[in-house]
Amino acid sequence: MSTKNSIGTVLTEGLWRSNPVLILLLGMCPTLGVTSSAINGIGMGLATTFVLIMSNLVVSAMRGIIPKKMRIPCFIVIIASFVTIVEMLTQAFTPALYKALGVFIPLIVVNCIVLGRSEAFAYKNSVFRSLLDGIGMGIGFTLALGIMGTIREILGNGSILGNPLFGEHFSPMLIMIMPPGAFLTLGYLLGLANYINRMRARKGA
Amino acid sequence: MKGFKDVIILILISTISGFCLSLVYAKTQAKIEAVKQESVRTALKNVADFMTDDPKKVDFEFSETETIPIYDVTINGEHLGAALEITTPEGFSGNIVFLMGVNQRGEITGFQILDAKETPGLGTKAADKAFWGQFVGRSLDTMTFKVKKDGGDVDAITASTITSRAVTHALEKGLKAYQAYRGGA
Repeated sequence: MSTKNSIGTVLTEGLWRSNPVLILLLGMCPTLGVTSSAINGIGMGLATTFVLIMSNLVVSAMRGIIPKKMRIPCFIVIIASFVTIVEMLTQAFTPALYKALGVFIPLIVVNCIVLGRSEAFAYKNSVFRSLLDGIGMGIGFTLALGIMGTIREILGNGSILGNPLFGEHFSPMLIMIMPPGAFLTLGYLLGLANYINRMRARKGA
Repeated sequence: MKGFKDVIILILISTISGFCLSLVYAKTQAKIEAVKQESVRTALKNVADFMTDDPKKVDFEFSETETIPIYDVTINGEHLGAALEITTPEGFSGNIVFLMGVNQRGEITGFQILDAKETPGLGTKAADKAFWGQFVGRSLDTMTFKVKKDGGDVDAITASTITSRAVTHALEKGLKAYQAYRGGA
Protein backbone atom coordinates (compact mmCIF):
# COMPACT_ATOMS: atom_id res chain seq x y z
CA MET A 1 0.00 0.00 0.00
CA SER A 2 2.58 2.54 -1.06
CA THR A 3 1.59 6.16 -1.44
CA LYS A 4 2.92 6.12 -5.00
CA ASN A 5 -0.09 4.28 -6.36
CA SER A 6 -1.89 6.13 -9.13
CA ILE A 7 -5.30 7.59 -8.38
CA GLY A 8 -7.05 4.91 -10.43
CA THR A 9 -5.32 2.16 -8.45
CA VAL A 10 -6.34 3.76 -5.14
CA LEU A 11 -9.96 3.62 -6.23
CA THR A 12 -9.92 0.02 -7.53
CA GLU A 13 -7.67 -1.40 -4.81
CA GLY A 14 -10.62 -2.16 -2.53
CA LEU A 15 -12.70 -3.81 -5.25
CA TRP A 16 -10.49 -6.83 -5.69
CA ARG A 17 -6.75 -6.66 -4.90
CA SER A 18 -7.34 -5.54 -1.30
CA ASN A 19 -11.01 -6.43 -1.00
CA PRO A 20 -11.82 -5.99 2.71
CA VAL A 21 -13.78 -9.24 3.01
CA LEU A 22 -12.36 -11.59 0.39
CA ILE A 23 -8.65 -10.71 0.63
CA LEU A 24 -7.96 -8.73 3.84
CA LEU A 25 -10.54 -10.74 5.88
CA LEU A 26 -11.53 -7.65 7.86
CA GLY A 27 -15.05 -6.93 9.13
CA MET A 28 -16.05 -10.58 9.44
CA CYS A 29 -18.67 -9.95 12.13
CA PRO A 30 -21.25 -8.13 9.97
CA THR A 31 -20.25 -10.30 7.00
CA LEU A 32 -21.40 -13.40 8.84
CA GLY A 33 -24.14 -11.78 10.88
CA VAL A 34 -26.37 -9.77 8.55
CA THR A 35 -26.09 -11.45 5.15
CA SER A 36 -29.19 -13.63 5.49
CA SER A 37 -30.71 -11.76 2.55
CA ALA A 38 -29.36 -9.68 -0.33
CA ILE A 39 -31.03 -6.47 0.82
CA ASN A 40 -29.59 -6.78 4.35
CA GLY A 41 -26.08 -7.35 2.96
CA ILE A 42 -26.30 -4.38 0.60
CA GLY A 43 -27.85 -2.13 3.28
CA MET A 44 -25.10 -2.98 5.73
CA GLY A 45 -22.49 -2.44 3.00
CA LEU A 46 -23.85 1.00 2.16
CA ALA A 47 -24.04 2.07 5.81
CA THR A 48 -20.41 1.00 6.29
CA THR A 49 -19.42 2.75 3.05
CA PHE A 50 -20.86 6.02 4.32
CA VAL A 51 -18.94 5.72 7.59
CA LEU A 52 -15.75 4.73 5.73
CA ILE A 53 -15.87 7.68 3.33
CA MET A 54 -16.73 10.25 6.00
CA SER A 55 -14.19 9.04 8.56
CA ASN A 56 -11.49 8.76 5.89
CA LEU A 57 -12.24 12.36 4.81
CA VAL A 58 -12.18 13.81 8.31
CA VAL A 59 -9.16 11.85 9.51
CA SER A 60 -7.23 12.82 6.40
CA ALA A 61 -8.22 16.50 6.67
CA MET A 62 -7.14 16.57 10.32
CA ARG A 63 -4.02 14.44 9.96
CA GLY A 64 -1.85 17.52 10.59
CA ILE A 65 -3.56 18.23 13.91
CA ILE A 66 -4.15 14.74 15.31
CA PRO A 67 -1.18 13.92 17.56
CA LYS A 68 0.56 10.65 16.72
CA LYS A 69 0.32 9.23 20.24
CA MET A 70 -3.39 10.00 20.55
CA ARG A 71 -4.44 9.02 17.04
CA ILE A 72 -6.44 5.86 17.86
CA PRO A 73 -8.77 7.57 20.42
CA CYS A 74 -9.21 10.44 17.97
CA PHE A 75 -10.10 8.02 15.14
CA ILE A 76 -12.58 6.20 17.35
CA VAL A 77 -14.35 9.42 18.38
CA ILE A 78 -14.67 10.47 14.74
CA ILE A 79 -15.85 7.03 13.58
CA ALA A 80 -18.31 6.65 16.48
CA SER A 81 -19.85 10.02 15.64
CA PHE A 82 -20.52 9.04 12.04
CA VAL A 83 -21.89 5.65 13.09
CA THR A 84 -24.33 7.34 15.45
CA ILE A 85 -25.39 9.67 12.64
CA VAL A 86 -25.99 6.67 10.35
CA GLU A 87 -27.96 4.97 13.11
CA MET A 88 -30.25 7.96 13.60
CA LEU A 89 -30.72 8.46 9.84
CA THR A 90 -31.61 4.81 9.11
CA GLN A 91 -33.97 4.79 12.09
CA ALA A 92 -35.74 7.88 10.79
CA PHE A 93 -35.86 7.17 7.05
CA THR A 94 -35.50 3.40 6.54
CA PRO A 95 -37.05 1.85 9.68
CA ALA A 96 -37.41 -1.60 8.06
CA LEU A 97 -33.67 -1.75 7.31
CA TYR A 98 -32.90 -0.45 10.81
CA LYS A 99 -34.93 -3.28 12.30
CA ALA A 100 -33.24 -5.89 10.10
CA LEU A 101 -29.69 -4.73 10.80
CA GLY A 102 -30.35 -4.16 14.50
CA VAL A 103 -27.29 -4.24 16.70
CA PHE A 104 -24.93 -4.45 13.72
CA ILE A 105 -25.24 -0.73 12.95
CA PRO A 106 -23.71 0.42 16.27
CA LEU A 107 -21.13 -2.34 15.78
CA ILE A 108 -19.75 -0.57 12.68
CA VAL A 109 -17.70 1.40 15.24
CA VAL A 110 -15.59 -1.66 15.97
CA ASN A 111 -15.48 -2.89 12.37
CA CYS A 112 -11.74 -3.26 11.81
CA ILE A 113 -12.00 -2.17 8.18
CA VAL A 114 -13.07 1.36 9.16
CA LEU A 115 -10.36 1.87 11.78
CA GLY A 116 -7.91 0.01 9.54
CA ARG A 117 -8.36 2.45 6.63
CA SER A 118 -8.05 5.48 8.95
CA GLU A 119 -4.82 4.10 10.38
CA ALA A 120 -3.25 2.61 7.25
CA PHE A 121 -4.40 5.06 4.61
CA ALA A 122 -6.22 8.26 5.57
CA TYR A 123 -3.69 9.27 8.25
CA LYS A 124 -0.92 9.21 5.65
CA ASN A 125 -2.64 10.42 2.47
CA SER A 126 -4.30 13.50 1.01
CA VAL A 127 -8.02 14.19 1.41
CA PHE A 128 -8.77 13.38 -2.23
CA ARG A 129 -6.91 10.05 -2.20
CA SER A 130 -8.57 9.14 1.11
CA LEU A 131 -11.96 9.88 -0.41
CA LEU A 132 -11.21 7.53 -3.33
CA ASP A 133 -9.90 4.88 -0.93
CA GLY A 134 -13.07 5.13 1.16
CA ILE A 135 -15.28 4.79 -1.92
CA GLY A 136 -13.29 1.84 -3.30
CA MET A 137 -13.11 -0.04 0.00
CA GLY A 138 -16.77 0.68 0.70
CA ILE A 139 -17.91 -0.62 -2.68
CA GLY A 140 -15.69 -3.68 -2.28
CA PHE A 141 -17.24 -4.38 1.13
CA THR A 142 -20.78 -3.81 -0.21
CA LEU A 143 -20.12 -6.11 -3.19
CA ALA A 144 -18.83 -8.92 -1.00
CA LEU A 145 -21.76 -8.62 1.42
CA GLY A 146 -24.21 -8.34 -1.47
CA ILE A 147 -22.86 -11.52 -3.08
CA MET A 148 -22.97 -13.38 0.25
CA GLY A 149 -26.53 -12.21 0.87
CA THR A 150 -27.69 -13.09 -2.66
CA ILE A 151 -26.25 -16.63 -2.53
CA ARG A 152 -27.73 -17.29 0.90
CA GLU A 153 -31.11 -15.85 -0.01
CA ILE A 154 -31.39 -17.88 -3.24
CA LEU A 155 -30.39 -21.16 -1.59
CA GLY A 156 -31.98 -20.64 1.80
CA ASN A 157 -35.18 -18.83 0.95
CA GLY A 158 -35.65 -19.44 -2.79
CA SER A 159 -35.93 -15.74 -3.52
CA ILE A 160 -33.84 -12.83 -4.73
CA LEU A 161 -34.35 -9.38 -3.19
CA GLY A 162 -37.59 -10.73 -1.76
CA ASN A 163 -39.01 -11.97 -5.09
CA PRO A 164 -39.68 -15.72 -5.16
CA LEU A 165 -37.57 -17.44 -7.82
CA PHE A 166 -38.97 -20.94 -7.86
CA GLY A 167 -42.42 -22.48 -7.82
CA GLU A 168 -44.49 -23.47 -4.80
CA HIS A 169 -42.86 -26.87 -4.48
CA PHE A 170 -39.29 -25.64 -4.09
CA SER A 171 -38.06 -26.55 -0.66
CA PRO A 172 -35.19 -24.20 0.32
CA MET A 173 -32.01 -25.23 2.14
CA LEU A 174 -32.92 -23.57 5.43
CA ILE A 175 -29.42 -23.98 6.80
CA MET A 176 -28.17 -21.35 4.35
CA ILE A 177 -30.01 -18.48 6.05
CA MET A 178 -29.10 -19.74 9.50
CA PRO A 179 -25.67 -18.98 11.01
CA PRO A 180 -23.91 -22.12 9.67
CA GLY A 181 -24.87 -21.07 6.14
CA ALA A 182 -22.89 -17.84 6.61
CA PHE A 183 -19.72 -19.79 7.37
CA LEU A 184 -20.30 -22.21 4.48
CA THR A 185 -20.89 -19.40 1.99
CA LEU A 186 -17.90 -17.39 3.22
CA GLY A 187 -15.67 -20.46 3.05
CA TYR A 188 -16.60 -21.23 -0.56
CA LEU A 189 -16.27 -17.57 -1.57
CA LEU A 190 -12.79 -17.31 0.00
CA GLY A 191 -11.79 -20.53 -1.74
CA LEU A 192 -13.00 -19.15 -5.06
CA ALA A 193 -11.19 -15.83 -4.54
CA ASN A 194 -7.94 -17.65 -3.70
CA TYR A 195 -8.33 -19.92 -6.73
CA ILE A 196 -8.83 -16.95 -9.07
CA ASN A 197 -5.85 -15.12 -7.59
CA ARG A 198 -3.63 -18.19 -7.96
CA MET A 199 -4.69 -18.65 -11.59
CA ARG A 200 -3.91 -15.01 -12.29
CA ALA A 201 -0.52 -15.21 -10.58
CA ARG A 202 0.35 -18.29 -12.63
CA LYS A 203 -0.61 -16.51 -15.84
CA GLY A 204 1.46 -13.47 -14.88
CA ALA A 205 4.56 -15.53 -14.03
CA MET B 1 3.55 20.14 28.22
CA LYS B 2 3.28 18.12 25.01
CA GLY B 3 0.89 15.60 26.55
CA PHE B 4 -1.31 18.48 27.65
CA LYS B 5 -1.66 19.69 24.07
CA ASP B 6 -2.65 16.19 22.91
CA VAL B 7 -5.42 16.05 25.51
CA ILE B 8 -6.73 19.46 24.44
CA ILE B 9 -6.96 18.24 20.83
CA LEU B 10 -8.87 15.09 21.82
CA ILE B 11 -11.26 17.19 23.93
CA LEU B 12 -11.71 19.55 20.99
CA ILE B 13 -12.52 16.70 18.59
CA SER B 14 -14.97 15.19 21.06
CA THR B 15 -16.68 18.54 21.59
CA ILE B 16 -17.12 19.14 17.87
CA SER B 17 -18.42 15.57 17.41
CA GLY B 18 -20.87 16.03 20.25
CA PHE B 19 -22.12 19.24 18.73
CA CYS B 20 -22.63 17.65 15.30
CA LEU B 21 -24.47 14.71 16.89
CA SER B 22 -26.83 16.95 18.79
CA LEU B 23 -27.64 18.74 15.52
CA VAL B 24 -28.51 15.47 13.75
CA TYR B 25 -30.42 14.28 16.82
CA ALA B 26 -32.53 17.43 16.85
CA LYS B 27 -33.30 17.01 13.14
CA THR B 28 -34.20 13.31 13.22
CA GLN B 29 -35.83 12.83 16.64
CA ALA B 30 -39.32 13.96 15.67
CA LYS B 31 -39.21 11.79 12.55
CA ILE B 32 -38.04 8.71 14.50
CA GLU B 33 -40.85 9.19 17.03
CA ALA B 34 -43.40 9.54 14.21
CA VAL B 35 -42.15 6.38 12.47
CA LYS B 36 -42.43 4.40 15.71
CA GLN B 37 -45.96 5.59 16.40
CA GLU B 38 -46.95 4.96 12.81
CA SER B 39 -45.76 1.34 12.98
CA VAL B 40 -47.73 0.73 16.19
CA ARG B 41 -50.82 2.31 14.61
CA THR B 42 -50.50 0.21 11.44
CA ALA B 43 -50.10 -2.96 13.50
CA LEU B 44 -53.16 -2.09 15.60
CA LYS B 45 -55.27 -1.49 12.49
CA ASN B 46 -54.05 -4.78 11.01
CA VAL B 47 -55.32 -6.86 13.91
CA ALA B 48 -58.63 -5.09 14.46
CA ASP B 49 -60.76 -3.49 11.75
CA PHE B 50 -62.71 -1.52 14.37
CA MET B 51 -59.51 0.20 15.57
CA THR B 52 -59.59 3.96 15.93
CA ASP B 53 -56.65 6.33 15.70
CA ASP B 54 -56.33 6.82 19.43
CA PRO B 55 -57.41 3.77 21.42
CA LYS B 56 -57.22 4.02 25.19
CA LYS B 57 -54.09 2.22 26.37
CA VAL B 58 -54.51 0.32 29.63
CA ASP B 59 -51.84 -1.66 31.45
CA PHE B 60 -54.00 -4.52 32.66
CA GLU B 61 -52.71 -6.56 35.60
CA PHE B 62 -53.65 -10.04 34.45
CA SER B 63 -51.83 -11.81 37.28
CA GLU B 64 -49.45 -10.80 40.02
CA THR B 65 -46.50 -11.29 37.72
CA GLU B 66 -47.94 -10.26 34.39
CA THR B 67 -49.13 -6.95 33.03
CA ILE B 68 -50.70 -6.96 29.57
CA PRO B 69 -50.99 -3.72 27.55
CA ILE B 70 -54.54 -3.48 26.21
CA TYR B 71 -55.66 -0.96 23.58
CA ASP B 72 -59.34 -0.49 24.39
CA VAL B 73 -61.62 0.82 21.64
CA THR B 74 -64.69 2.50 23.02
CA ILE B 75 -66.66 4.94 20.85
CA ASN B 76 -69.35 7.09 22.51
CA GLY B 77 -69.46 4.77 25.50
CA GLU B 78 -69.92 1.64 23.36
CA HIS B 79 -67.16 -0.89 23.72
CA LEU B 80 -66.20 -2.40 20.35
CA GLY B 81 -63.24 -4.56 21.29
CA ALA B 82 -59.56 -4.31 22.01
CA ALA B 83 -56.09 -5.18 20.86
CA LEU B 84 -53.81 -6.96 23.33
CA GLU B 85 -50.04 -7.04 23.28
CA ILE B 86 -49.06 -10.53 24.43
CA THR B 87 -45.59 -11.74 25.33
CA THR B 88 -44.90 -15.44 25.65
CA PRO B 89 -41.63 -17.02 26.77
CA GLU B 90 -42.72 -20.44 25.45
CA GLY B 91 -41.35 -20.01 21.92
CA PHE B 92 -38.57 -22.12 20.45
CA SER B 93 -35.97 -19.39 20.99
CA GLY B 94 -36.63 -16.32 23.09
CA ASN B 95 -39.81 -14.35 23.63
CA ILE B 96 -42.53 -14.08 21.05
CA VAL B 97 -44.32 -10.72 21.23
CA PHE B 98 -47.49 -10.24 19.21
CA LEU B 99 -50.63 -8.16 18.91
CA MET B 100 -54.06 -9.78 18.80
CA GLY B 101 -57.38 -8.17 18.13
CA VAL B 102 -60.52 -9.23 20.03
CA ASN B 103 -64.03 -7.96 19.32
CA GLN B 104 -66.69 -7.41 21.96
CA ARG B 105 -68.00 -10.97 21.50
CA GLY B 106 -64.59 -12.29 22.57
CA GLU B 107 -63.66 -13.47 19.07
CA ILE B 108 -60.17 -13.12 17.62
CA THR B 109 -60.09 -10.64 14.74
CA GLY B 110 -56.43 -10.60 13.80
CA PHE B 111 -52.87 -11.41 14.73
CA GLN B 112 -49.50 -9.83 14.03
CA ILE B 113 -46.07 -10.75 15.34
CA LEU B 114 -44.11 -7.75 16.65
CA ASP B 115 -40.92 -9.47 17.73
CA ALA B 116 -39.76 -13.09 17.50
CA LYS B 117 -36.55 -15.00 17.06
CA GLU B 118 -38.04 -18.26 15.81
CA THR B 119 -36.19 -20.47 13.31
CA PRO B 120 -36.23 -18.82 9.85
CA GLY B 121 -38.46 -20.77 7.46
CA LEU B 122 -40.04 -22.92 10.18
CA GLY B 123 -41.21 -21.06 13.28
CA THR B 124 -41.40 -17.78 11.35
CA LYS B 125 -44.36 -19.29 9.45
CA ALA B 126 -46.44 -18.38 12.52
CA ALA B 127 -46.55 -14.89 10.98
CA ASP B 128 -48.30 -16.24 7.85
CA LYS B 129 -52.05 -15.98 7.55
CA ALA B 130 -52.06 -19.66 6.51
CA PHE B 131 -51.38 -20.39 10.18
CA TRP B 132 -53.09 -17.68 12.21
CA GLY B 133 -56.08 -17.43 9.85
CA GLN B 134 -57.56 -20.51 11.56
CA PHE B 135 -57.99 -18.51 14.79
CA VAL B 136 -59.93 -15.63 13.24
CA GLY B 137 -63.56 -15.55 14.37
CA ARG B 138 -62.90 -18.14 17.07
CA SER B 139 -63.45 -17.60 20.77
CA LEU B 140 -62.88 -19.60 23.96
CA ASP B 141 -66.33 -21.20 23.45
CA THR B 142 -65.86 -22.31 19.85
CA MET B 143 -62.31 -23.62 19.87
CA THR B 144 -60.15 -25.84 22.01
CA PHE B 145 -56.86 -23.97 22.17
CA LYS B 146 -54.52 -26.93 21.78
CA VAL B 147 -52.71 -28.30 18.76
CA LYS B 148 -54.31 -31.42 17.25
CA LYS B 149 -51.46 -33.57 18.52
CA ASP B 150 -52.49 -32.59 22.07
CA GLY B 151 -56.18 -33.19 21.37
CA GLY B 152 -57.22 -29.67 20.38
CA ASP B 153 -58.50 -27.92 17.25
CA VAL B 154 -55.33 -26.18 16.06
CA ASP B 155 -53.41 -27.23 12.94
CA ALA B 156 -49.76 -26.90 13.96
CA ILE B 157 -47.06 -25.65 11.58
CA THR B 158 -45.17 -28.61 10.14
CA ALA B 159 -41.91 -29.12 12.03
CA SER B 160 -42.70 -26.23 14.41
CA THR B 161 -44.89 -27.77 17.08
CA ILE B 162 -43.20 -25.78 19.86
CA THR B 163 -43.86 -22.45 18.16
CA SER B 164 -47.43 -23.49 17.35
CA ARG B 165 -48.07 -24.52 20.95
CA ALA B 166 -46.59 -21.28 22.26
CA VAL B 167 -48.75 -19.09 20.00
CA THR B 168 -51.88 -21.16 20.63
CA HIS B 169 -51.41 -21.06 24.39
CA ALA B 170 -50.64 -17.34 24.31
CA LEU B 171 -53.76 -16.60 22.24
CA GLU B 172 -55.85 -18.50 24.81
CA LYS B 173 -54.17 -16.46 27.55
CA GLY B 174 -55.02 -13.28 25.61
CA LEU B 175 -58.69 -14.22 25.36
CA LYS B 176 -58.81 -15.02 29.07
CA ALA B 177 -57.12 -11.71 29.84
CA TYR B 178 -59.73 -9.96 27.71
CA GLN B 179 -62.55 -11.72 29.59
CA ALA B 180 -61.00 -10.77 32.92
CA TYR B 181 -60.53 -7.20 31.70
CA ARG B 182 -64.14 -6.94 30.55
CA GLY B 183 -65.40 -8.65 33.66
CA GLY B 184 -63.61 -6.16 35.83
CA ALA B 185 -64.49 -3.13 33.72
